[in-house]
Amino acid sequence: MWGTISTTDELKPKLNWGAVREIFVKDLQELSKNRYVFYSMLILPCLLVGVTLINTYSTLSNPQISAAQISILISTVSETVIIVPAIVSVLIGSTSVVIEKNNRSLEPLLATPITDSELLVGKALAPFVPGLGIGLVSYTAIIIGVDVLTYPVYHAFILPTPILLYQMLVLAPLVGLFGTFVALFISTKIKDVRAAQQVSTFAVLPLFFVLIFASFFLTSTLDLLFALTLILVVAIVGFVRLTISQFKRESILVSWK
Amino acid sequence: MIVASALTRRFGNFTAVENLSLSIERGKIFGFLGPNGAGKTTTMRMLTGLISPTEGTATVDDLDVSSPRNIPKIHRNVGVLPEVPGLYENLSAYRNLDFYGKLYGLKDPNLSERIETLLKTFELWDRRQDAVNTFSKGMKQKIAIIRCMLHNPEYLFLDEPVSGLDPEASKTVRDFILDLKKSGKTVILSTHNLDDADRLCDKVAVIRKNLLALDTPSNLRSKMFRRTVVFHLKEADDLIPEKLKPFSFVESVTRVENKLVMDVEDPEEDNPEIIDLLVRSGYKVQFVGEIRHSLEEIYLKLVGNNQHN
Repeated sequence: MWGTISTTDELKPKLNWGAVREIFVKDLQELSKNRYVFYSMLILPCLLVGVTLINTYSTLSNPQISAAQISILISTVSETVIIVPAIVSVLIGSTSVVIEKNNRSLEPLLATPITDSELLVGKALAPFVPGLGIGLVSYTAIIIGVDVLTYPVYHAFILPTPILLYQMLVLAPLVGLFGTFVALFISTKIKDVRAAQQVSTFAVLPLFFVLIFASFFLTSTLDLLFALTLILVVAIVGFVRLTISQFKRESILVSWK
Repeated sequence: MIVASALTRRFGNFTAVENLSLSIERGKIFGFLGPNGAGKTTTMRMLTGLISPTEGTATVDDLDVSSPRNIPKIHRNVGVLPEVPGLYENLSAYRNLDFYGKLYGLKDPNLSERIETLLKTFELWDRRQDAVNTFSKGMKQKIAIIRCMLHNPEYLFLDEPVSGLDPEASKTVRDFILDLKKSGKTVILSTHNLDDADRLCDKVAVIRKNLLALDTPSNLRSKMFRRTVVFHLKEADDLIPEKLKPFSFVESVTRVENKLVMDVEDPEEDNPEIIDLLVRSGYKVQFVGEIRHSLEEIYLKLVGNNQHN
């Protein structure tokens, strides 16, 4: 009786989360040793948070501006932070695969009992989690910073707005996933870390052009957000499928250059 | 036991391995020999389930390597040392091994004990916390060997295990391979170092896309060459070849100063007769030895013949 259960389990092997976690932790440890990637992924969020706070501070010097107006203004400026999860994921994602290629460490890795799915999920989590984490920290820094600056003037917390919360909790993870899978797919084709990062960055840029383009034609912010969510989901599904097609044992050993 | 039957692998129009059939017994050291591009690495990758054959089958302990569901089971029983160590250069030696040990499903304290034992065996315990990028090529190779040993597999596939190592490190690795055999492990080597293959392997397969020869080094020697014997005399002259003519088992005689080099059929039977004749003819035989044809000569003959064909 127990034998039957065991056989069924073997036919549908489950994801070994221990193996996934090991790949994820190892990639993060390697990343922490790579100063070039480590510092470059912190520059953009620091810059965007700084610009938003400076902008808030200078806007406050205008006595005519109301709390509602400054809320809209700051929300618009802080929308740029949405790029952070994508850029950080691209920087890390392209690096983690290219390092494996350059070290020639894929063959011993694939000779372990891990499955292709475990490798893919581990490799995807390594860029996605820090990308999303840094994105959320950036949003949080903006919310706290703006509220600290504006509370003495308006005696109310003007952030977060519902739109900003939607960006943080729905769009930021989607953008992070998009950046992750773009980077993973592109880095299977490229051997140089910087080239992989540059090509991946170029590949995620159209997403932001779509965002700007859509903002001209969609009058309602809600429509814009839903349209962007839909575009992201479609793009993510596409890149996930492309990446899965490349993350097969055979392709990794034979076709990855 | 590993069994390959009519194993073929094509990459597009290029055939890397064709119709390869062989079996590898447990507890033996088996060597794959062949020139660059002969298909050694492709064969080893197919036998370890890293890539699947285009045609034919291979099994490791009756598990078909082509079946994806068998791969994790096969990999728990197989250790692979690739041609390049493939270590995480920025991480410490210990962390590299700890990472792989966990992927193989080992847990502390067994894993840490195993890492400690192996690092001490290879005299790297004191460097365990150093980043691998500070290690010499030989030290990296040792770490890679430890990595493929961590889960105590039955089968070890070692691709060029002593490549680029200094003589001392090579000897450590060779001794370790022999120790593995003593402990009942099966070692499958791919090497260009024919001297090592001769010393280590119980059986060798010479391949060049397909199988050119499969046997023990000594059987290959006797199949491919007549045995050559050297008679050291106190004094020799040019009359000796003439005197040996009646012996049909002596295929050729060459005199080099006071030495006679002869190809004979069966030295154990033929040498006493030759010595008897030489002594009766007044020559003084100082000692007799056999020239052993190296595996390199066998290999070059096999590969050379195949090239001409």
